[in-house]
Amino acid sequence: MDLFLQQLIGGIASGSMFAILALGIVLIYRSTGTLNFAQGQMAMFSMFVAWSAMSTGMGFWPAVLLTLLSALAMGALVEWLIVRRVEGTSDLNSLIVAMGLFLIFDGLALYIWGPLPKSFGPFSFFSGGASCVGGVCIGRLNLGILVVSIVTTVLLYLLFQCTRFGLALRATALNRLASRLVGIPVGRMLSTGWGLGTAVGAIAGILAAQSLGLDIRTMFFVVLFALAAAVLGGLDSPVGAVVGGLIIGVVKNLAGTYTPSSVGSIDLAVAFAVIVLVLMVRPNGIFGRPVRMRV
Amino acid sequence: MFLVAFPFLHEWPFFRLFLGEYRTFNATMFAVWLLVLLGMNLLTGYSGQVSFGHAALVLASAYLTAVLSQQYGFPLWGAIGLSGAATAIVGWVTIGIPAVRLRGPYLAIATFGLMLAFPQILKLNVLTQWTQGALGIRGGVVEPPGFLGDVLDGREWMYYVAMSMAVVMTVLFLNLTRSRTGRAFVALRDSEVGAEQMGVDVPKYKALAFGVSSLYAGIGGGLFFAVQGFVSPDSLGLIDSIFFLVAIVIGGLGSVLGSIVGALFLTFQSEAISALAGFVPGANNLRNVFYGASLIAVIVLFPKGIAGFFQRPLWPKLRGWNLGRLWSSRS
Repeated sequence: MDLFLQQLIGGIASGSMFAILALGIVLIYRSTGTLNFAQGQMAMFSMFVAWSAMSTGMGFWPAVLLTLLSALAMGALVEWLIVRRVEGTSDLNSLIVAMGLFLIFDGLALYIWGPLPKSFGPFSFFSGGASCVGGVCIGRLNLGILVVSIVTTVLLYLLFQCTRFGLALRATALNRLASRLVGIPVGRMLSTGWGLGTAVGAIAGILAAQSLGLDIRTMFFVVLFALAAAVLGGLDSPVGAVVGGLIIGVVKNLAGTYTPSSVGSIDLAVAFAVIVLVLMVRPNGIFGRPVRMRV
Repeated sequence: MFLVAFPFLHEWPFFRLFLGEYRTFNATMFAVWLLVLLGMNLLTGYSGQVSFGHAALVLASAYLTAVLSQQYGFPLWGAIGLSGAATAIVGWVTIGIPAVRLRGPYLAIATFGLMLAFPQILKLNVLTQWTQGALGIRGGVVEPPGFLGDVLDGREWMYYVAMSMAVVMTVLFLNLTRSRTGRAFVALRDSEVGAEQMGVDVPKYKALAFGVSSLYAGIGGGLFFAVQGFVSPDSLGLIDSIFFLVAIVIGGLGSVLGSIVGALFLTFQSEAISALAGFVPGANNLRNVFYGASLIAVIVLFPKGIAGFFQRPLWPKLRGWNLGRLWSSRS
């Protein structure tokens, strides 16, 4: 039972990291209807920015702040320069553009920082002894990840629900024409959506680097869990992304613990199975709204 | 006519004189990629469904061929045929039919997941007795049969088999796309609801497109194993699936010529980049940036790819990147 609880908590912690990566995917999907397959590679790129900032002697928190601002700008720029060109043409085009972005960020990081892994963390905030309650312990790393994820989610929730700006963002996601009619600068909102999504992805990337290390392939597979989380929750539902991420994290951890070692590692297969199962049973996810189609 | 004759250009009897051993291998791989890309183009370019998992289908078929021919004593060509058929059925029934319910982004996620998960599945310990785990499966040397053995070596024989396969499948492909079925695929791509209104059985044709596409991927995969003589879980991965996409988009979506250009691209890209690295330092590392940028530029500027230039005058297309849109607001 203790093992189960232990794995449950570990799953929630790593799930919270998937959750905010998925949150980034959902924010971007809501803004321009682009499913950003490049989310992982863009997050990886931001992680390298943070690493570069820190290698010039900057402290951890200022470097994180700088990274978030640059990710915000990078996401907005990508929307403004590239995604806007194919907007409203077809799903196929925006998926192809997402793959183009995947290649661009993958290649840029390789060109600038090279193929060798970098040492990046765990930083003091994420290292230290475990905290235990009645035989069940949570390591400092997982605790740190959990805290950062919760803070991120709460801040985003406040931004979206309690500010005029958030209201404008939600309005744009809901109905673009009507938003324009009431005077919302729709284009700027879409760029902001991409920027926010990218910045949230950068946070997820920095969290992932604490346990996985930093190199070009760090986010290569992690993004699959985030996608599974987003699908599970519903691609257009931020709440769904968080719930989906937690479920995926727990399922992944439990499957890893209770699969006999004679089978081999199955975490990616589990994520794939979840995706297929959700799409078969409830294609719009737990919290998603169905999409209607017009000629 | 040009399209059909093009692959024959290499088939001149004396081609050994001006194609070295390595070029023969190149030409053989060209045939393999052509088969794979025809299938992918049918799915994406003609019927408008996206797949980021096509390399997984190729890999699956390569593995099936390897297991059948190396462990169960099937003749190689029989194994390739069987694997092609099996991949087609798998693609049709287990991917195509479920995919009918999925809109673009969801299908993309599912195939993306398949692509990332499949190598891990191949490495599972419970499957090791067939797949040999991460080590992969090695094939034997292919020898030409009977009297041909005096004229050709194994590599050249392989080339003739692969290329004639590619030519036959290309001709079949042309016939298919000009048939009622082919037009149904195109109608699907342009508007699903519209196609339904015109009496196209949408679920049936969507699943069928996956099936036919998988058949091409399957035969390509079987030949892939025969040509390379080796397959491992990491022989093909997500990056190859993306490169397939790059190849057909740059070559041209929705045309056979596009697949041919794409296959040329896949065959020679690494060599071309290495050559470029001689002039531009770091070009090797910048490769993906270049491909990604080309992918986006082609989709925005020339949605029909390179093949489009042969079908329509170039100049009107250059207005495609409407620079005014950079600055103005939009709906």
